Amino acid sequence: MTTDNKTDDTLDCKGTLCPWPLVKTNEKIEKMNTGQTLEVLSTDPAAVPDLQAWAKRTGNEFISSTKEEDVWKIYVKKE
Amino acid sequence: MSKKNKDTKKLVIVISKGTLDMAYPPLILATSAAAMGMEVDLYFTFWGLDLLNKKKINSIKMAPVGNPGLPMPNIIGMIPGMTSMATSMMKGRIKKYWPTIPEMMKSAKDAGVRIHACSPTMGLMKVDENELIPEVNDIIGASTYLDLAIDADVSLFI
Repeated sequence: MTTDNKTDDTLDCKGTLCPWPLVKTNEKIEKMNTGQTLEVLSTDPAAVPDLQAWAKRTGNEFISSTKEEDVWKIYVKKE
Repeated sequence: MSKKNKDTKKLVIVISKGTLDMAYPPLILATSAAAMGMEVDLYFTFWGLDLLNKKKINSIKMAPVGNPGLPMPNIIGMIPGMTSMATSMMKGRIKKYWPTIPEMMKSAKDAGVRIHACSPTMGLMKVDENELIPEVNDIIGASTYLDLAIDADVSLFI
């Protein structure tokens, strides 16, 4: 697991498809503390809108997403 | 994450088919909904009950006949052996991305999804309670399903 200054943990979902980026992110966030930030790595283009919808429905915060080559880096914060 | 209160949204799905292509969509929706904090009830009826049957859940097949999406004419699909060929092709593709049906079922259950077996189907198909997978919550009938569906925000029949 790699972490940097911005994030408290990283979840690698590369190579998986919907619903796993969402399901695994939710499982991970449940174990984290309020205010902590998770970085999700995904190659599934649906992961960005799906995690936005997930954040909206669960009350967590979708911070941002960037794409580097074929990998989306998605940042979500536990509320 | 599941903040259960009166604002909690509910998803109810009737699963009436027992083939691979009809088993994944409801299980994907169910696990996603649970992760989004929704309450989920799955009602397995008719051939959907095969997905709850210990003897059948590990050998769910892909039907090559009557499935125009497959790159195979119906007449070819009718040749003996084509069902297992289509099944292994599909399973080979699926396992790159998703867990197996039994694993999906367990994952759904662990996430709080409620799994209901249809009582009349069990009678019709001669399935005994002890033949069902341990994930099954209970055996219910149409009125219990309707009672669940009346309060659902999203209700699907697959």
